[in-house]
Amino acid sequence: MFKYHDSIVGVSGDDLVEIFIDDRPVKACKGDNLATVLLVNGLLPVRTNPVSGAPRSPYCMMGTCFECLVELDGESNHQACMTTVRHGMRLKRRLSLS
Amino acid sequence: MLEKPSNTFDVIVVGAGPAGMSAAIEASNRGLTTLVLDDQPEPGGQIYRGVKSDRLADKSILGVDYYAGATLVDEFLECDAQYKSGATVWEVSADLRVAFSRQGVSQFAHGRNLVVATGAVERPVPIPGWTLPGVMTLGSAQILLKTSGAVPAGNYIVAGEGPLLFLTAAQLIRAGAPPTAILETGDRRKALAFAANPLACFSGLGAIAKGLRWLGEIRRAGVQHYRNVRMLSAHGDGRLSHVSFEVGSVPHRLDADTLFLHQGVAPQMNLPASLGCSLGWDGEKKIWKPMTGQYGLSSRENVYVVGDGAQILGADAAQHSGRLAAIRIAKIHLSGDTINVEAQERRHLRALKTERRFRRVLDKAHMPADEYLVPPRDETIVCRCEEVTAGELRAATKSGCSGINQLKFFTRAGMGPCQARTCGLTCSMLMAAESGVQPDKVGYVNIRPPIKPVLLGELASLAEKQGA
Repeated sequence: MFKYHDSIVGVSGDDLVEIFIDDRPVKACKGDNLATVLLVNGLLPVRTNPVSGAPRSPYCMMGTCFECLVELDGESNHQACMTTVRHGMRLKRRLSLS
Repeated sequence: MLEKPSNTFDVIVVGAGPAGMSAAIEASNRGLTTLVLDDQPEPGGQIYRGVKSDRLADKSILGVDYYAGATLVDEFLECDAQYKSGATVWEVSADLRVAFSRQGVSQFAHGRNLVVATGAVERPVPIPGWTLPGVMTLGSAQILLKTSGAVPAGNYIVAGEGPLLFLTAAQLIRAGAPPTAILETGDRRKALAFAANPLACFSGLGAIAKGLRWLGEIRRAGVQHYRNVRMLSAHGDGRLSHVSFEVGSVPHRLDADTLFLHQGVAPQMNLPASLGCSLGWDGEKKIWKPMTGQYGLSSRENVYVVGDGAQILGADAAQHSGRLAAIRIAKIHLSGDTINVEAQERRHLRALKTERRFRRVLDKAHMPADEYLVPPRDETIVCRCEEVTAGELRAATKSGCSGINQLKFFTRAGMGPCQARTCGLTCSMLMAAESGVQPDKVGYVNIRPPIKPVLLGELASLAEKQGA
């Protein structure tokens, strides 16, 4: 649902790191936050609401709404939009099957 | 006993947007020891976010106003204030001990003064379907463009009220990614509001000219433009697929992969509210805000609230307000040339007065329509975290909840991880409307620390350090 603009610099070669989303390797741009990586890779939803199980995705991108909570390196409840990518990070989406 | 002297500062500023950066520059230039804590990786706030690292080779997309922010960021990075990026403040105690988390480690700093410069948040836009993946705030489109050079892919719609609608659409048109449609929920009273206040408009001529230029860009791009949009709803099975709305009772339907919502912004209040700063209802702007005097002092001693976090006046005014607070603190703590200081204070106060005059007209012109402030349709979710609907909130109000905090306990609205950041304003306005009173009679939900979730492991390691 998002794509990088044609004119941008900083999205190739040394500008990239490898992270793991749901155990699959994904190339990500240094400096990007995890919510952006999820959005440009079309990996929606990001989680399910714990009350109803309804699918949810990043809403505010500035740390306010807590809709982008993910599991990061085994720890739950990290705000993806507030976390800058680091090589080797392991992100898991928390999706219930209800 | 707990703090080393190096952890104590004359001023701790929370937030590195225009207001926080300006306060820090002014305070440190005046010889006050200053610490700035900001939760983003780079300074600039949301308005100048990524201004030093943006990836867009084509600088016309974001425009000169955005890149002008780099001057302030440079001045800030060169000043003597200590700056910690990626630092999330999660508690400030009554004696101004600031607890913050950085790279998974929590620590304390002590302030003789606190300057809260945490900016604004988007007003909630509770419409049916707004929790669907693919529905986002308009601010998020700005953030993705500024920090990552990312633009929406596929069909997208921009809906709501306010100048940011036109600015964002114009920027994305320049980026070669025009919206499918712009849905303005307001009507043509804008022109009336401006015409009724020629003096205020004169001080805002530059802003008006910019607005007209954006509208011209939108028209030339051939974007569908609807006004008076009512009954806006988002639809989709697990993800947004289309948007429905009415214009003059005529139903419309547009396919969309993404819908960006916007109804203006409101002060971000969780930090001052958690400190017990008095909050006030602004009936003209229909927002809650921390009560502050003209120099930014809140109801709490040595706690200042500046910039859009105190009053929505935009980035230029935020700089004046940040500097005013720092000058005031310097005046109290340092002795020196007070005549010169007073001339500077007057200059900043005058600039703020001018900004306020035009902003008043702008706010009137862009006041959200009632149905976007208090959702009339019962099925609309108000609290996204706990999935509490407008109907449930109305029923609880009718059943005799005596105030906003009882409403919170009865329905769980505002008790989720966002701590009412998204729904607080709507809950207060809905309860007031249902009770036939103004929101100040209902109040704003109590905000208690920690104001950001902090991992138990961090607290444990902090306790060990303190115990040692």
